[in-house]
Amino acid sequence: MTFGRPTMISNNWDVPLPSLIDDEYLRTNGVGQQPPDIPSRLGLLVSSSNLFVILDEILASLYSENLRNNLNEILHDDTRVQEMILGVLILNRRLEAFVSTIPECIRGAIATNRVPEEQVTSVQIQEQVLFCRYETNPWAWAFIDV
Amino acid sequence: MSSQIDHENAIPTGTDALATVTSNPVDDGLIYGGSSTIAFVRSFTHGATELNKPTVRDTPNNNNGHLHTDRPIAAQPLPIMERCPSSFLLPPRRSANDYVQCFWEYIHPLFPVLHKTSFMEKYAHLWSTEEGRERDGDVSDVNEIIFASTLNLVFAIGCQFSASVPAQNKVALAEDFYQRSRKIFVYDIFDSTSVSLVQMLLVSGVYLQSTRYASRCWNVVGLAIRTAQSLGLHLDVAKYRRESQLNKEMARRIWHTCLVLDKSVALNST
Repeated sequence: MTFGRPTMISNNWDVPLPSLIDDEYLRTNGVGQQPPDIPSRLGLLVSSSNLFVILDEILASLYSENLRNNLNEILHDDTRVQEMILGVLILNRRLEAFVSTIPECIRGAIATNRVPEEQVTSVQIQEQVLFCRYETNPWAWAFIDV
Repeated sequence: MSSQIDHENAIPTGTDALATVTSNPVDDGLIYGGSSTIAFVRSFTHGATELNKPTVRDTPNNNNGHLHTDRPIAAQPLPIMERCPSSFLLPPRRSANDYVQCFWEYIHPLFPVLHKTSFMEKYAHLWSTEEGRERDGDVSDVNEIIFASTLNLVFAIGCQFSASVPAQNKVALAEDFYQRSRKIFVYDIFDSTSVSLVQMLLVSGVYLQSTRYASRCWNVVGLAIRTAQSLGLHLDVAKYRRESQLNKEMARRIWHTCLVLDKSVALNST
């Protein structure tokens, strides 16, 4: 379902990422803890949220309907080509930095560029979905278009 | 537009969509940003900007690990019309348990917007009351309506992962549950706003992502985000008042799921 439409949520929000703690350990009194030997089910949401913020910026910089971002015009202007390449490098560095923030137990697929063989446990499902979200990022399309 | 007319047309919350405000806006628990008419008027009537002032109004309740999301904090909804009593019927319990289990197993890690412990408590309660009374569909409480609607969406999603449903029946069965959830949830409920409504809209968006109703998915995610913003879920609630770990974490999960769904329906397919 590729709409290619603008996103609705702007940068005008201020909500910290959720903690890596599962439902059954949340308390109304005091503060519960995730047992250290059980990987949390929240890893995917936290990493996806980080990833999508970067992907949104990639789209905004390369696909925005804003006239300033018309790719054909940019390509005829050396200064703006340089600006764009710089922007691409910065975003690329952020994507690389993002990978290192993924909880270790669900990072494998992206780090090795290989889909996990089984998708049975909740950790494997998270790993698989995060891999898909990462691999279908608009980066690939951007380079084809340019 | 004269202020006289605005007063006559004012709806009970004291605002309309054009942000005309009645003379004494009540504190309806919703969030109005610093640029809004309401915040402006309040700054005169209350002498202070409410948002910047931490309140202890909502101190954590002493309940045992259950989320209180079902308190509608805005206007009460209009009477529900055209609700179809048969939509409240439950599938056989064994099947229902299986669908719910599949939902927690396969979808909850992707979109953790429901609090499992709280939800399963209500779910168990549903069966215990179901045995004691006729299934007459007499459900009038708005919280029960939202829960029943959410439950049918959970069935709709979960049944598609169930080994007990033949592959060729999955889409039709899921569609049936989805239609039930729509008949239970009638749009009058948009007059009231609660976290549980946001949760229901998000689960609805998750179901619709994998269906032929692409436009509905797009729109329902938009509604979820609007509703979340009116509740202030785009703000860090911990900055403004003391909140329990449960409420604080659920609010964050719900907002970040809004964010993920917003981007994913706009950009790509997962």
